Amino acid sequence: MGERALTHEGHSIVINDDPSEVTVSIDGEPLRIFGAAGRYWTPHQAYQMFDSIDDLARAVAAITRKPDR
Amino acid sequence: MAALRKRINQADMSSDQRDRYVKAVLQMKKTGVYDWYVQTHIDSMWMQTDGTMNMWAHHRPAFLPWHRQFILDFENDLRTADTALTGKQSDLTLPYWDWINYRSKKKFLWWGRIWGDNFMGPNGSGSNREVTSGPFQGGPGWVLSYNSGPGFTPFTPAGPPYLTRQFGQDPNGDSLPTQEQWDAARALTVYDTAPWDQNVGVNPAPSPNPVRFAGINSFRNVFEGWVPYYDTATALPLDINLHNRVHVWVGGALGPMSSPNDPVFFLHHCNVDRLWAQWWSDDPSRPYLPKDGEPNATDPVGDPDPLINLQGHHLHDPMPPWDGRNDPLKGTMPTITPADVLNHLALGYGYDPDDRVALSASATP
Repeated sequence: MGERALTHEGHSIVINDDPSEVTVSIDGEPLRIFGAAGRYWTPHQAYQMFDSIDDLARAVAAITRKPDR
Repeated sequence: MAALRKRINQADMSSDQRDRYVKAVLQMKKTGVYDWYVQTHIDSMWMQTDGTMNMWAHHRPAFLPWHRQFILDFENDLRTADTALTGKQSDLTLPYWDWINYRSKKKFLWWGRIWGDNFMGPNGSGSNREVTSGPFQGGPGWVLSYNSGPGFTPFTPAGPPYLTRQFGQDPNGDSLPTQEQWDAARALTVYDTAPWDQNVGVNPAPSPNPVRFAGINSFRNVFEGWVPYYDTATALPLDINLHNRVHVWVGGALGPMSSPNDPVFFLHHCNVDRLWAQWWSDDPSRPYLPKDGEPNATDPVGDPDPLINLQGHHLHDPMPPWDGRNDPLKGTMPTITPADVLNHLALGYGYDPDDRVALSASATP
């Protein structure tokens, strides 16, 4: 629990999964996340529910525009 | 009664029909009509500035009737654009993409047609998965839109301004739905049930769900794709199914709530509409649910809005934006309820060759 950073497909991801406030940012841009009890949803991947915040963040990073363009 | 429009398999379109379809879509983009559909779709599942998220068109019972009206309006605008371009009364209809009979590299029955450079364009390529050829490739003629409507919070796009696709690359959508999965969904007899959201019929882990959706009381939630599919009692489940799975399989721009940015959205949802028509034709007496007066529910598990507000979902509720509002682009919107669209034949179109002769435009659901 707490803040941690990872990279996926060239994108930097910062996750704070403190139970009081779950936040995720990709390349510094915050994501909207909804959910609880192990099912999470984001409008950036609107047709899936994710079992973890990490899975959700990686899935969004995979469709995020690369910084080099 | 006027003859029914026949919506056909995209594989059966003539080269002239494909050419006119593409030109009409590009014309809609040029005039701003196309982006109305992107914005309206975003609004249907996005936060209003007062913090509510009504989920008018997804995760809820009106998923199917809302999209039926959505693509019917698109079809009408497409015909208007085609008429303007050709100077003749348009006979174009929405084509459907039969993704069930289209699921493996050995059975790509019509691969080269839908994804050809003279129709929807190809898969994305390169590290950005950009679609780099065809009529909808990146450039001034096809810039993706992420705008939300007045009264909604801005949707900061994670996606690029150009069209992207990544067929089968997401592990949650590495294959298209199968006939067996659709048959299992089609066997269900109840349209929807409480709590009316994406959790209906989903057993909490580690309890497995029924094999092949057996006994689940929500055709809508199964078909929308939120219920895990177990082929056998010991098989690993597919978590994302049917309608949702196609969005995930195509990937890229078809994944966010701005998914109509990819024009294949309308071919996909035309097939969703066709399959719903099949389900309904199995027994037109099946009631749409919730009935009028059904109370709201709450469901905190993984829901974008734990208050399941059924306004817009009851049988005779107007479905936003078809609620009489004054739309900046379209003017006064008609009032359309789920009850108004349950019989697609009464709306003036049918599917070739699936509609049964026994059905009629006067059938009462």
